[in-house]
Amino acid sequence: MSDAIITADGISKSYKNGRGNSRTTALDGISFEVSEGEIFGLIGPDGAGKTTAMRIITSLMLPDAGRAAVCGLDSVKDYAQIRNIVGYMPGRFSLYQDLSVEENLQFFATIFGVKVKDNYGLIKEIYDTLAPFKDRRAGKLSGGMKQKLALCCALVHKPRVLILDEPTTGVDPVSRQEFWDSLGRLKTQGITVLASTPYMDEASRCDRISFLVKGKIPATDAPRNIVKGFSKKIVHARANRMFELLKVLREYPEAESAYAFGDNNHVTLKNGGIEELKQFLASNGYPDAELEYAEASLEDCFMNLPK
Amino acid sequence: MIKFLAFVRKEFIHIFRDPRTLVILFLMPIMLTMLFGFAITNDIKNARIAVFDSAKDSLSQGIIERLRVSEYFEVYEAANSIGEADDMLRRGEVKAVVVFPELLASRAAHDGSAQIKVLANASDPNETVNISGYIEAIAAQECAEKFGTMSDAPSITPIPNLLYNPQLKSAYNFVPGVMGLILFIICTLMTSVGIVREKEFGSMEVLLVSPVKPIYIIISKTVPYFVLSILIICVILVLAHFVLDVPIRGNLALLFGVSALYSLLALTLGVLVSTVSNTQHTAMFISAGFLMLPIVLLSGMVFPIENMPRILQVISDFVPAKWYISAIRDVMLKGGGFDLVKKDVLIMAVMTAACILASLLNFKKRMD
Repeated sequence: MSDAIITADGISKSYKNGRGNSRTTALDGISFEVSEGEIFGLIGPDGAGKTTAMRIITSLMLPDAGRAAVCGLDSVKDYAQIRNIVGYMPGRFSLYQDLSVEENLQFFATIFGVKVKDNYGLIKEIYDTLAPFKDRRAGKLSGGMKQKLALCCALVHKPRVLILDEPTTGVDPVSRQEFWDSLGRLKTQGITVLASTPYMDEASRCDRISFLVKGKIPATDAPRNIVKGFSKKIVHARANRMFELLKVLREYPEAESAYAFGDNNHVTLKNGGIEELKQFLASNGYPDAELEYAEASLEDCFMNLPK
Repeated sequence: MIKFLAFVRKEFIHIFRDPRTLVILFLMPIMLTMLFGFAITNDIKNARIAVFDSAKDSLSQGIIERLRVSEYFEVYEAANSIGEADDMLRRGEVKAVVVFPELLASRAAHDGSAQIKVLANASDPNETVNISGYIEAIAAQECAEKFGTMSDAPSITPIPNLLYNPQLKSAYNFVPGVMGLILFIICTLMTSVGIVREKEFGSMEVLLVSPVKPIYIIISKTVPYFVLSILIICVILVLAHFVLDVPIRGNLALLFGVSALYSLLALTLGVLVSTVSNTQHTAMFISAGFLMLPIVLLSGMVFPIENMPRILQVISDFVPAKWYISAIRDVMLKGGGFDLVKKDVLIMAVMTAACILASLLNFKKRMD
């Protein structure tokens, strides 16, 4: 408890719907803890409440119930102090498009009361790749470079905690890889990272993750443990007509879930094994379907979360 | 303080890197001033006039003949009655009617002076003044020829008789109006849109999660526009005075003081607008539609407030520009001192305080 850098304790938040009295629940009593020096992922689809959770932790929003704390500072009471130790990068690109790369960095350094060179070691590796474009307006950068610049600006005051809201959305796969490599290096410098993402491949790069689905957290653990803890059998199925096959698979009474992923249809079995499934498919017009057991991936775990 | 300066610097960069902003800031004031300014032409050339000659003596005939040959006038017709002359004026066929009273020559000879009447349409009072001037000069020439140039020679004075706009709303009055409008556009519109843009682009989110107090963020937004509006007042005054010959009779320091107060008021109004709007569109709509239109219509800039229905007069009391324009007219055109504008200044100061208070109550240091 005491070594947690970020604590979310039963946070709830709902929004008013237009003019009516009905409210949409964004967060429904979520709790999790982030320990010092880890990369913690908040994994969930769009609309799950990731952004709301981050805004509450960064003191930008007030929770309806529950409390959030960063380094023991309450996000409601001690918001001014939290704002000194947190580096925050919102989901949208939120730097000044008409300022150059260098001007943006200088500006954010100044408002946090530091000089760029004070913590240059922290951002050097990232900023070096931007340096050739330092006089370019931020609005004219590519998506990946914008994110790098935003990261530099969030890091320039050497925050203890870095909070990133979907940092890689809209960024190409190579830049995404590089971005997570950078986070790995920051971790070695003692910075705790809380990041949200809808991508499972990124989830597996976190030390620990929480799945966030419809405002609730059904599972929190290291990605490895989540996969290990998955006890059901996964079958990968392939046939000529994949989409029709998926429909048939969903009819299979023993299938817990069936969904398409990449080249395969993933089926999670409640009971029985591959032989029973083969027979079912043969009697439904797919005698030639290729079936094989596979190790569960994070996607499989996510798709089979307890409803 | 360094943080604050960094903000101000950033704002200036925003302004100077956006061509549209620059156009609004610098081209528009010049254009508006010139547009309103040159709506009045100072040159009289071939102005159509009618004459109504009750005297029919040598002096009146001589003056009419001179008017006829002068390049300034084109004597359109001789009216047979004063009613006919009035009709011509009303239909816009002539710009002025020169009325010669009976026994003009003998009166001039006996009394040493005589008067002729110049009926004119006062919707363009500037032109009327010019026409009277030219007629006086021409009449003087005729007198000089008839009676010689001795000091006791009789003189003829044209008495302008202005119709349709007895308040004599001079086109000069547009310059204070334009100042009120432009300062408002710069301060309220640009500031509110500028602040709301940060909300819309999400940079406000980052700024709020910084140790900078939100109040400084807002103040730093207003500083550049304040500086620029003072600059623009200079531009307008220079244009008005040297290009349009608008007199600046009052104390220049008072003029700037009143303008600075009005800018401050417009800025706080802009901040207030920004606290209630979440998109640039809303801010623009509120500033332009809700606040700017009343300035044009209800500030006395275009339509005299005294002639409005009671209800509109009451509403106009809440239009800041009304007080500013009235103060500027008093200082600039009438040459009044602080005593004359005390009331206007006080009202604007109260409005500013109210806006600041409302903004503070409305300002959110969080997002929801």
